[in-house]
Amino acid sequence: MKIFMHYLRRASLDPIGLLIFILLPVALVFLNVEINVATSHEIRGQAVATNVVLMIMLMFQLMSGSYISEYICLDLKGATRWRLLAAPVSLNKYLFSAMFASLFFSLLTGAIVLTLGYFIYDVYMGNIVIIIAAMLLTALFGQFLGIILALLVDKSGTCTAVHLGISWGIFILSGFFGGITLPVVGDVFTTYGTPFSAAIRAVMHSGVGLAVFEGGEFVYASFDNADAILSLGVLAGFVAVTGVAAVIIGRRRPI
Amino acid sequence: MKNVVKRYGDLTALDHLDLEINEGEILGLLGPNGAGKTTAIRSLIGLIEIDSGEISVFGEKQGVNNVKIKKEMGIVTQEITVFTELSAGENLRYFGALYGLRGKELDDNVKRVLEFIGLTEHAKKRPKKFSGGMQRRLNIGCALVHRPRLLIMDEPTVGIDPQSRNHILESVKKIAQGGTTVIYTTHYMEEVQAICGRISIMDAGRVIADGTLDELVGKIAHEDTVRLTAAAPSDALTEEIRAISGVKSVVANAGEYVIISGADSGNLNRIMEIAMRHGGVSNITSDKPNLEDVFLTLTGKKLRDTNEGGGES
Repeated sequence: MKIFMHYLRRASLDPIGLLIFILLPVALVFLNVEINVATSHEIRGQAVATNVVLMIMLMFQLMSGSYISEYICLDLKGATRWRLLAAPVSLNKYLFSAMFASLFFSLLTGAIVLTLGYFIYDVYMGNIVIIIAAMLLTALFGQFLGIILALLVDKSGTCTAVHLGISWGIFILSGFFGGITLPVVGDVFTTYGTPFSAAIRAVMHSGVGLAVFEGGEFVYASFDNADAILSLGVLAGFVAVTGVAAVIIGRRRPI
Repeated sequence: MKNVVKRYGDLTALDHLDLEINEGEILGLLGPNGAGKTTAIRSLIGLIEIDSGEISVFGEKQGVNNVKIKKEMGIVTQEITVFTELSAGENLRYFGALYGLRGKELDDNVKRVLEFIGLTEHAKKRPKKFSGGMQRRLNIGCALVHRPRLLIMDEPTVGIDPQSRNHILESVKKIAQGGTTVIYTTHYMEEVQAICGRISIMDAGRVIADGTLDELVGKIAHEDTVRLTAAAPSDALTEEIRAISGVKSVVANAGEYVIISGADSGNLNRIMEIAMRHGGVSNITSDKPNLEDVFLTLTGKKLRDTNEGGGES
């Protein structure tokens, strides 16, 4: 607990980190919603805001895994590691404490974005349990990705850059800039083929994205919980594979 | 450490190393770069596995992650390894907590260490605002919060002013007087001479000499040290000096030559003659040996500038 609190305290004292992972998503939500609502038909406002808020919330869950890679590189790959590993504390304890602190910040970002979206833009949450599950699993995937990169790359700056690069690669594959249909695999990446697309699909099928325009307003009537749960299962699979990969790489390339 | 062997691929970092430290003493561990000091220390702390041999600390067998022994040790790293975003007090509290201190015991120890390292007034300040000397003191303090029985200090005075260095050396003496055993590695001979009761010199992964300062110097008491500054240093000059009968070691570095030769051998004149033929000398002295000369004779290398170029013998 002491080590977890230590990482939480350090993260809370990092102004750039707080700016990027707490203020930036909030600012992006405001900016995107205002622009999209202003250029859309008024009645679509809630649907637009709902999509923007949930999309940005999930994007930052994936990207904020770079927090842990930074702490691993700083503490466990530099000179500090000898001092830390000389203490009667196991390497895993440091890793998990840093991971949970990083996860805490991810989820805090998500909670802030969702709360603001709910109270300011009247965002429709669909099935909140599925949204929270998607948020948690996406954040976990981001953390494991951060651990893998920290194990493979020595410099924290490079680690963060690669993490963000992979995250954006995933967003693009997931159809963030429009649907992608590739030879052989078809539209697999935009449906269940990436952690991000699986998370988005889970959220959308929990009711959020299946609004229909009826009688002059959007009605969030079409739920497909089975598909939402299937998408969550796929996302959980990605998390499990990444977690196992982190363990294997950690054993082969010990810190 | 008994007969300890540690290999990294083809490189033998520790070659049947025997090293003994008596409780309560300050042991100076000297050696040129690549001698195996760091590997020896990391093995002793239990950070790396050894290939063979035996390490025991306070009567208990050491191994990787032996938590019981780790609790009894403190390490002062060569680099400043404190958290710059936390205050001095927070740093001490964190490292104390890692060693299991809690509540009043932690509070009391943090207070004690802050006083000891002279940072009580700066407890709430972050180390990034400290001078180099203050950061070094905090770096040492972080290893003392849990009152280790064995303190390992790896070049703790690198890059600091003489005043801070003296403060640290005095602190190390006080730590040892309090009953803590200290292993002190440094590139500064004068530090070893000032504080260490016993000195072990390592080279090529093993201890090649061990004893008190007087004992070590006594080993080459029958030799003289000639230091000269050549006007035109060259490999030919080095080779000619080396070829003189009775010359045991020649270390050349940017025109500065340190030559160990048998005492009363008359070699000073011969060295002078050769140097004059090679462009002359601007300075030459002949002294009785000191610890640096012992090191030079045993390892054939200077302690502080082994990577700075120049010929070695």
